[in-house]
Amino acid sequence: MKKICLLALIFLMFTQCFNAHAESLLSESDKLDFQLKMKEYVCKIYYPDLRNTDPSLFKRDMENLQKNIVDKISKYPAYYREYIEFLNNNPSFSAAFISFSKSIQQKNKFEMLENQNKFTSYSLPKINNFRNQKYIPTLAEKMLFKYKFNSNYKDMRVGITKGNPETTQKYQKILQEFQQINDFETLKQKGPWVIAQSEEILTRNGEDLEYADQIDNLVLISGLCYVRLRLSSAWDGTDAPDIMKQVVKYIETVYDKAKVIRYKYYIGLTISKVNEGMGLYGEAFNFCFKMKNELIEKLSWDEKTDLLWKMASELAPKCPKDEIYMELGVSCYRLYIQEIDNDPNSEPQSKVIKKLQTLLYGVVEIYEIYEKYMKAIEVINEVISYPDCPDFIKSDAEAKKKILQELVKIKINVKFGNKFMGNDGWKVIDKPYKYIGAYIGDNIRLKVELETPPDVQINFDSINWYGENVSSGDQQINVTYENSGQKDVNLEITIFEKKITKIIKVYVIKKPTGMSDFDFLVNNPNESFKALAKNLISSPAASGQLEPSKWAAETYKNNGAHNGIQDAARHVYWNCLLVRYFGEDYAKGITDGHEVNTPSDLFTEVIMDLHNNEHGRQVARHVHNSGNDYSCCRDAVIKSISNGHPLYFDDLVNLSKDALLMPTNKK
Amino acid sequence: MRKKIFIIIEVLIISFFFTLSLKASILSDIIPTELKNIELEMNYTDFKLNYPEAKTVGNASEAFCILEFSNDDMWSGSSLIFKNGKLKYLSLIRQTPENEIDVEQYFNVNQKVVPTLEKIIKILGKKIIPKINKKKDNTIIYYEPVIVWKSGKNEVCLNYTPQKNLKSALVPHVTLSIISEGENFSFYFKELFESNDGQISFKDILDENIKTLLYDSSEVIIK
Repeated sequence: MKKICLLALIFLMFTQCFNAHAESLLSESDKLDFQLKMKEYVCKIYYPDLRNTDPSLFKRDMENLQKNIVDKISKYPAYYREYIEFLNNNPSFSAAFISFSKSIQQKNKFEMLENQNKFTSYSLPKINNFRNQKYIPTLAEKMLFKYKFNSNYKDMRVGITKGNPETTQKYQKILQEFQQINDFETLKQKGPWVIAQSEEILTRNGEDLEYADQIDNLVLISGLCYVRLRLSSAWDGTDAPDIMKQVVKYIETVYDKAKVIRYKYYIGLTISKVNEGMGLYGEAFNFCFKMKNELIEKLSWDEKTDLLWKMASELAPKCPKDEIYMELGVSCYRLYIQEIDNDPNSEPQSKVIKKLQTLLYGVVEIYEIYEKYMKAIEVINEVISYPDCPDFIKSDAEAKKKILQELVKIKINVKFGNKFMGNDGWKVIDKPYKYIGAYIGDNIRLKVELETPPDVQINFDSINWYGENVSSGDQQINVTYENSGQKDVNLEITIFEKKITKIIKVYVIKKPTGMSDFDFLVNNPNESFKALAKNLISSPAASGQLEPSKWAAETYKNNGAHNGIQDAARHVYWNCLLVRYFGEDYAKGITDGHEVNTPSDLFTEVIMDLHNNEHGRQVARHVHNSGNDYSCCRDAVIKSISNGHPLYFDDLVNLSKDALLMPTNKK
Repeated sequence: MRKKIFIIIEVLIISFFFTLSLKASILSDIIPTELKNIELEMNYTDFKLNYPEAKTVGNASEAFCILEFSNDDMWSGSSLIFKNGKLKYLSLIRQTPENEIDVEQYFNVNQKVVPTLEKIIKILGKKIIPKINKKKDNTIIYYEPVIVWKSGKNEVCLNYTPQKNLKSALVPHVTLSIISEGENFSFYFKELFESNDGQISFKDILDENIKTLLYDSSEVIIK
C-alpha cells in the first residue's frame, strides 16, 4: 500500500513538473501570434494611418488589444517571458509598452508580498525611448493592422480543441509567408499560396486549429490578400470601408464553405468584428443573427450563450435605431435567460439572480434606449413578481419603475432649424433615423424641449450636447461643420436622475462646385456619344424618357417621383448603369455635375441626390454579373431600396426647406 | 509684261483654289454622306432643321448632339458640340455595337485606323502635334495617342484606343474630330497633356504601323 502511495506521489510530482514546464514554453505559432499582436499595438500607436478613422472605434480597438496582451502576460508565465524577450530584442518597442510594464511592475510587487509570484525569474526590460527608431511594418502587416479590429476579448477565447501539430506548422508557415509580403510583387508571388493554404485549413473536414485567434488571422489575411490582388494598384486610392466590405464578402464565402461548426462560428465572429470595425453594427448583428439561426443547436453551451450575449448586449444597443433591432435584442436576451437554466456550473439561486439581472439591466435597458417606457415597466413588474426575487434586486427594480412611471408622462422633443426656415422656424426630429441635411459652413439650430401635461412642472436636471464641433450645456445650440460626412450630435439629458441619450444625425456635404454635367459631357465626347445613344443621358426636358426614369416610374409607381422613393431608385439605378458602361469617374462626373448649379435653398434635395448617386456607384461595384447590365443593376437597386441604404424626403406633401432625409425602408 | 503678271497671278489663284477643293474632296472621302451638309460654325437651328433625328442634350446656346449612322462601315455616328449657337466640334466615332464580341478585331488598328490615317496624311501631311489623352476606367489607367493637324484655322485630330488596351477599355473607339478656331482644344478630352512632359512617351503608345506611317519619313516634323 505504501509503495502504491509512493508511486502515486512520484507520478503526481512528475506530472506537476511536466505541466509547469509545458506552461513555460510557447510553440512557434503561439510566439508568432503573440509577436504579431505586440507589433500591431506598436504600429497603431506610432502610425496614425493604421488606426481606425473613428476615434471611438480606435479607442475600443486599442483597449481590447491591450486587454488581450495584458491578459496573456499576466496569466501565463510563458507569454510573460516572451513579452520580456521580445522587448529586449526590439528595444524600439519598449516606449510603447510603458503602461504595460508599469502595471506589471505593480503586479509583481503585490505578488511578491503575497509570495505567489510566478514571474519573478524574469526581470523587466529597461524602458528605452526609441521614438525615433520606429518599427517599420511590412506591407502585409500594414494591411492586417489597418483592417484588423479587436473586439471584446470574450470572442478571442483560446483553446477550441487540441491542435494538430501538422496544421499548426502549416499555420505558422502561412503567417511567416504573409509577413514577408512587402510590395505588390511579393504579394503576387506569395498571396495566392497564402489564400489557398488558409482556405484549405479553414474548409477542411477536421478541427485541427487550436486557437480561435488563428482562425481569425487566417480568414483576415487570406481576405486581405484576395482583395488586394484583385484591386491591384488601386488599393491606396480606395477607401477603407470599401476594401473591408470586399473582405467581408470574401470571408462570407469562406464561412459558407467551412465544414467544421466551430470554425464557422469563429469565422462568423470575425465577420461581425470587421463590421464593428467599420461602425456597421447593423450588419454585424444581421450576420450574427443568420449564424444564430444556422448554428445555435450545434454550438456548445459557452459558445451559444456568448453569441446571444454579444448580440443582445454589445450589438443590438449600437445598431441603427430601428425597432426591429430592439425586438431582436430582447429576444436574444430572452433566449439567453432560457439558457441560464442549462448552466452546468451555477447554483439554482445564482441562476435566478442572473436571470433577473439580465431582465432588469439588459432587457429594460434596450427598451429604455428606444424610449419604450411602458414595455420597460412591464419587464420590471415581471422581475418584482418573480417568485424568490431577492430583496436587493426587488428594491432596485422598484426604484427604476418609479422613474420610468414619471418618464411615461413626459415627452422629450429635439427640434432643428436652418436659415431657410426663419429664426422662429422649428421642426421636431420625430425619428432617430432621420438626417438633417446641411452644406459645409451652414448653421444648424438645435434645441431640446420637454412636453408635459399642463399641471406638471418638470425641468431637465442637466443637458449635455457633445460631438464634433459641439460641446454645450444649453437648451439651444448652433452647429456648423467644416468637413463633409455623416455626423452625430449626441444629446445627454438627465431627468429624474436618469440619463437619457439621443443621437441627432446630420448629413453634411460640400456645396457642389466644379464642372457642370454639360461641361463634363463635352469633356468626354466618346462616352457621352454612347450614353446618349443608349438613352442614359438627356436634356432635362426629355429626362422622363431615360431608361432609369422609365424603370423607376414603373417599379415604384406613385411612390414619390420627386424626392421620394422613386426618385431615390432612379438615381441609384442611373449611377449603377453608368458605372457598368462607362466607369465610376464618368458616372460621378455626369450625375454629380447635374447638381452643380442647383439653387442653394434646394440643398436637402442635392444631398439626397448626391447620396443616392454615390450609393448607386457602390451598388455597381458589388452587383453580380448574372444577366445583362440592366437586369443585374435593377435587382441590386430593388434590394438596396428594401435595405434602406438610399435616402428620401420625410415629407413629400410640402417638399419644404425643413425636410429631413430618411432611409428608403422607413415610412 | 502686265498681261504676263496678270496671267501668273491668275494661275496662282486658280491653283490655290484647286488645291483647296482637292483637299475638300479627299475629306469628303472620309466624311460619310450623312454629314455632307454640315460644316463648322453652322447654326444650331439650321442643324436641327436638317437633322431632326439628332439626339440632343442642352439648348440652342450650348448643345451636345449625336447622329447615329446605320449604313456606314467605318463610323458608328457623329457627335457635335454647339456653343453660342454655332458648331464648334464635329467628330466621327467608331464604337462597339451591341453584342460585338471580338473587340480586338472590330477595332483592329491596321484595318481601321491606318487607312483613315493614310487618307488624312494625303490631305494634311505629316506635320503633326503629338498629344496624349489619359483615360481611367474604374481602376484601369491607360493612355491613348491624339494626333493633331493644323488645317487652316481649324484643328483636325485622330485619336483611338491602342490595340493593347482594347480589352480593358470600357468604351474603345476611333475618333476623328474637327475643332473650330479659337476653341480650347483640351476641353474636348478627358486629360490631355503634351507628349514630352515626362509622364509617358507619345511614340511608346503608338501601334507599330501607325508609328511607321508617321515616322518613317524625313517629312515628319514634330512641333
